[in-house]
Amino acid sequence: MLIALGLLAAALPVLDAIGQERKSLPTKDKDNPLTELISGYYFTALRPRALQDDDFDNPGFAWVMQGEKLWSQSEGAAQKSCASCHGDAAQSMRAAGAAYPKFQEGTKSVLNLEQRINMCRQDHMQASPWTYESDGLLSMTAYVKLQSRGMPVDVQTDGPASEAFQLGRTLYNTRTGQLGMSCAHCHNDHYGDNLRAEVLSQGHSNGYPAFAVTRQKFTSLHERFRACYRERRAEPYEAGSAEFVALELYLAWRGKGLPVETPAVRR
Amino acid sequence: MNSLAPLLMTGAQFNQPVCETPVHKEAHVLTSSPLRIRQVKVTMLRGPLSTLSLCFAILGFGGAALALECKPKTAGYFKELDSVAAGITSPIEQNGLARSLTGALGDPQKGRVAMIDPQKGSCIACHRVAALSAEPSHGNLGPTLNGAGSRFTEAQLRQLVINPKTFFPNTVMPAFHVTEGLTRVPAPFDGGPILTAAEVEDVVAFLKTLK
Repeated sequence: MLIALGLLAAALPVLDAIGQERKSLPTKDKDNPLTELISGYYFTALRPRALQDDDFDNPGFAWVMQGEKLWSQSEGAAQKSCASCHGDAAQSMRAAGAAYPKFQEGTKSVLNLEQRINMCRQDHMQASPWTYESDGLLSMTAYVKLQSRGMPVDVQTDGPASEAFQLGRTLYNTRTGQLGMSCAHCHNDHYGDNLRAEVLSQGHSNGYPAFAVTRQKFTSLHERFRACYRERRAEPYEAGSAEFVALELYLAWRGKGLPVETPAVRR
Repeated sequence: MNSLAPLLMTGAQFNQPVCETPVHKEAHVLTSSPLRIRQVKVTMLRGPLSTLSLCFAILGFGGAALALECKPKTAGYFKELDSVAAGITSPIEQNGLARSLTGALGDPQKGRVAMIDPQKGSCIACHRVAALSAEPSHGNLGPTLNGAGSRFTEAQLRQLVINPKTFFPNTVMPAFHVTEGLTRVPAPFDGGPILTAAEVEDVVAFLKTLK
């Protein structure tokens, strides 16, 4: 009877502050410092979650719809649009966003989705690249990544991508700034704990670009990185830098298996 | 904290701080054995039912559940301190820094302000402090500082504020009066410590009042 109760306890879900289930997935890779994967969704307050749950309420969909419009808008000297080559994004871009950052033979480097989009703009549309954090780049990234929504993050970290992956791992574990903290100190060792009124998440990337309610702004992952650096009084790297792409690759590997939630709503 | 847990924790032996935090990754259960008090780490199962059945399960497996505490970081703190301090050979490091950085006593009232100020010590960002309960939203990354003045000597408190890594090499806690070995520190913070020598002494003076 008592053992049965104990077994029952083991089968019960993990609850958060408001008694809601905090869903976790097992980690697939034995090298992963986490033993369970919990999306940032479950560390976010109820109201932002409700916004994310409803596509009509989700502010991020303003950018997604802009991206959908831009998809078939001809630009550049070649007067081509994304649709000219890729047709229906729902077909051609399916699962593509879940596999980035990815090593590119053309540049012999790992690029994230934003950079891959800009590569297409330059090479095939002969249009100027969008600047990082511009509405155009955020919109197109969100629209492409939406075609992977619900699919598990699955990036390749071996072979030619291994150098960037190792750099990302090093950056993640390096104490930085005047406060001398690494990403791991908060997001591996203390997720679920309170930093003042804020609940620390596991720091996953599966919801980005995401709408940040505190800033009322649609935000790229790299801009979120920069905020984390500034909070520990550290000089952040540039958005789109090789360092942040490497960190993005490491994070994607660390959250491998989590479903893509773009456009998520986060704190 | 769920509603049932306080009921389960009544009794004279439960003088550990009750966890007010919204999330608990693990529970520590103290079980008695004829020889010594043993600390057993149990994977946390959240929710009223699971807490209840966790207790039953422990009773069922033969241990006497003496105390169930959400996150007894204080207990772990001592343990870590013991093991780490044991490896430190320098008496200054082990016993802390006895000499005041300024040569004078700090002002506990100024220390109280620095403990709260987000641009200064901001200690309550991570530590719960009952004496500062007028200030909202204390964090819980670190152990509570209640009783810190009794647990540590002034010299140890000073060393912990200046650089806690001498005691706890892997801690998330910043070194508040160290400028070397830091990377990518931007202006206007580069070159300077988080707290000045006088501010360190003020904070130490306030911590000493936490009996």
